[in-house]
Parts: sequence; structure tokens; C-alpha cells
Amino acid sequence: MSRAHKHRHNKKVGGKSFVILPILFFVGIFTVMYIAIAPTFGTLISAASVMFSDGENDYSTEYKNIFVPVQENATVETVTNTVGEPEVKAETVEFPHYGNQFAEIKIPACDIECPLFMGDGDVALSNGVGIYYGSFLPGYGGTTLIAGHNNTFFNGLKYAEAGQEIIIRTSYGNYKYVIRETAVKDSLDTTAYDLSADYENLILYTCYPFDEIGLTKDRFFVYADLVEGIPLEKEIGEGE
Amino acid sequence: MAKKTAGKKVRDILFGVLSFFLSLFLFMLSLGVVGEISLFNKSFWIDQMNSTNYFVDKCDEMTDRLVILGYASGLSKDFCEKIVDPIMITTDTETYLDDFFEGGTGRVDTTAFKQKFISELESYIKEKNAKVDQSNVDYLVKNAESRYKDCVKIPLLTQIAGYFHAVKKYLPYITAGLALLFAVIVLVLTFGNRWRHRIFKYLYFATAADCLALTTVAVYVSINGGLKNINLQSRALYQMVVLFANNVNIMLWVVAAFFLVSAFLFFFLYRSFYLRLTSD
Repeated sequence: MSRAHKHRHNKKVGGKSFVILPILFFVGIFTVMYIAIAPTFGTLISAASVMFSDGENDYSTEYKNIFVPVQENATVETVTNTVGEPEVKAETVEFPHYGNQFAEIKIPACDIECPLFMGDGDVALSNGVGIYYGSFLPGYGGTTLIAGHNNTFFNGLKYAEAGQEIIIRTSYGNYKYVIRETAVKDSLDTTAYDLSADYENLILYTCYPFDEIGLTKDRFFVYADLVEGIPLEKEIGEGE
Repeated sequence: MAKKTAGKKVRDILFGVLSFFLSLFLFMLSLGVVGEISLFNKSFWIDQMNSTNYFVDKCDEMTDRLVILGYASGLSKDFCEKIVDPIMITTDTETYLDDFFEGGTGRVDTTAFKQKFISELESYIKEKNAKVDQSNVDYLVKNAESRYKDCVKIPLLTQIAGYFHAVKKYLPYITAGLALLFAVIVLVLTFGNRWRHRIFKYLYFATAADCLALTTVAVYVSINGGLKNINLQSRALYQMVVLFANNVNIMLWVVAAFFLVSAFLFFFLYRSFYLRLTSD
């Protein structure tokens, strides 16, 4: 073979097929795998997607405190509603997210003074008491349902009696309630609270009996009515 | 002459198809082998757990759960902190994994935990001279036991148990079958081709395609950060799962690199045999 001929052969070694065929095979592999896997594992793969979030998980047990007390004589920004009564201006309120400390609750007669959280999860109940997420914030004109542990922050509820004052201080205003009655009910008794009430009322509850070791099946309820506090502008709830 | 060319074309197509199947089986074989030595290998799970300090972290998580339970049931923090230890968690996690990998549902043995909890609780009640209602204490023990079970269990495994056991059962046979098919195709390629350079050409096609496929999978996993965005309640489990995924991804890179080297090797073998042939 001549030198020139050999050189021409040398150049021809390889060629387009050496690039195209591996790429075609690669596409073929994924096509076959997809056809083979999709019917069997399709459901599993779709279900797996809900297990992922946009960012990395936050495992911090720290909570956000958005509570800035409103001083006794300070005035909050209000608007006048359709019947001529003042309401806390919606724009001035920072709506708490789940797990935020946004207020403080105080029952002087029971020696209770502790942080109030949005939601009654573990972090909230380890650091204070929490509003059940399906109930209303103080000032909303509905039922505010607050839970706490009977061996920690709500231990003092054992001294609760009708006529005592409950004060909830939030960043958008202070609310004063008076205890109407107390009652012991079963933990599964859903008639113990009415979350659809169309008037401002407060319900506190904790495990019962107090100072006992073990998980109890009864609950101690404290029912109170609002006596002082400016309602929230309703647009907040509708807008949120 | 025309008949000979047509025959050559058919043969080329046939060997091309065989080469494709070779790449497909090799790809599946690679995934199967990676799966066998990682996902379906209990020791690999334990290694990942040890590397991420899983048992110590799980112990802390369980203690936190007990402290919260203590707030609701009148138990002090000190009491809750002395119930579980990493040895107890390690033993029970290994037993749980043993059961799961043997095809069971993943039963958690709570005997040691329950004994410790009850004995400590009795001493605590005695020491505090506290009033108790036995049904409330029983409920507390049951709740603590349930929390311990949840802590030891790996929720991901429970969710995929059906698929996991089915794949685990058949994977060794599938892997062996794929290896056999691979060998058969290589033999057909070897004995069906008169010229050795052609064998290396088909092997090059298969290994290059596998290199591309595995690199794509590995790149996809790397770009998406492995399982960094997975939603898991337990931090210990999250760390373990992320390391697990990273290590599996490293294996994919290694296999892809192996195919890359193989592809180059086959290409150069093809080239040298081809040049030797044309120079004769």
C-alpha cells in the first residue's frame, strides 16, 4: 500500500457513525427504559415528587417573634367601619405565620403570663401557649381557641374562676376578656367549643386533672368574653 | 456483487441492533449492580448511618420528643433525658433493618425502651410521691412507645416497601440474566465477525452509549443536588439520605468513567486492528 493510500485510510478511521450511533443508542436506552418503567413505577415516581420542596429543610427549633407590645396609652391606627365604629387598619397589622410568637397572654389571678403563638405545635407549646390554627386571632370577631400544657404555662388555670380577667397583648392592640365559666370535658367532645361563633370569645384549654403524671383524657376549658379591644378591619381576613 | 453488498448491509444492521441491545443490557446491569451494592444492601445503609452520626442524632431527636411528651404529662426534662441512649437506638434500628431486608414489614422491637421507660417512671412517681391514675399512665407509656417506634422507623422504606421487596427479590436473577445476555451478545459479535476490528467497533458503540447514559443520570442528580430538597421531619434521617444519594451518585460517575475508558480502549483497538488490516 502506498504512503498516500495509507494516509487516506488513516483519516477514514472512525467517521460520523462513531459519534451518531452512540448518541442514537443513548436515546434508545432512555426510550426503552421509559417505556418499561413508566407503567410499573409511574405512580411511585409521581408520588415521590410531593416529597420534595423548593429549598432545603429548616430544622431549627428557633421561632420568629413578631410581638411588639402596644403601650397602655398608645393609640393604634384605625379606620371607621360602615356603622361608624373604629377598626384596626388592616395595612398596619403584620399577620402572624404558623409558629410565630405574635402576642402575650396574662391572667393575673392565676399567675399566668406567657408568650402566645400562632398554631399549637411542639415548638409553640414548649415555649408558651398557642392558638389553634383553625380558630380566629383576637380582634377578628370569632372564637379564639388557645391550648397550653397543664404542667407548664397553663398550670395556673387550676385557679381560674368566673369573673377573672384575661389580657391578650398583640402588636396591633390589647384585648381584655372576662371569664364566663370553666368546665371539664372529654378530649373528644367537639361540643366543648364552637369555632363558627359569630361573636368575639376566647376559649383556653389544657389537660385535666392538673399536677398528675400521665396523659389524661379529660380537658379543662375556660370560656371568656371580650370586654375591651378594637376589632380588626375585616378586609385582612378576606384578603389573606 | 449486488447480492454481496445487500448481505453485508443486513449483517451490519443486525450487528448494529445487537450492539444496541448490548448497550441497553449493560446500562441495566450497571444500575442493577449499583442498586445491589447500595440501596438493597443493609451494610451500606448502616455505613451511611455511621458516617452521619445517625444514631446519636436520632437519640437526641427521641429525647426531644420525650421532653415534649413530658410537658404534656408532668414529667421533668431530667427524667426524659435518661430514657434513650445511642446504643439502644443502634440495636433497635439494626433489628428493624434486619426485619425489613428479610422481607418483613419492618417491625420495631420496643422491649428495651418500654422496660427502661416503665422502670424509670415507677421510680419517678415514687420519688415525687405523685398522684397517678393507672389508665393515664398506661396511655402515657403507649404514647411514648409509639413515638419511639416512629423515631426508629424509616418512613421512606415503609412507603416503598412493596416495590422494594419485589425488586430486591428478583434483582439478583435479573442481574445474572443481564450478565448472561451480555456474554451471549459478545460471543455472537466475536464469532459472527470475521474481522476483529468490527467486534471492537460494536463494543465501542455500546460502551460509549452507556457512558453517555450514565453521565446524563449522574449529571441530572448532581444538578438537582441529590436529595437535598427532600422533605423529611427527622434531621438525622435527612443527613443520612443526602449522603446516601451522594454516594450512589459517585458510584454512577465511577461506572460512567469506567465506560468512558472502555470506549476509548475499544476505539483504539478498533483503530489499530483496522489500520493493521488495511496496511497488509
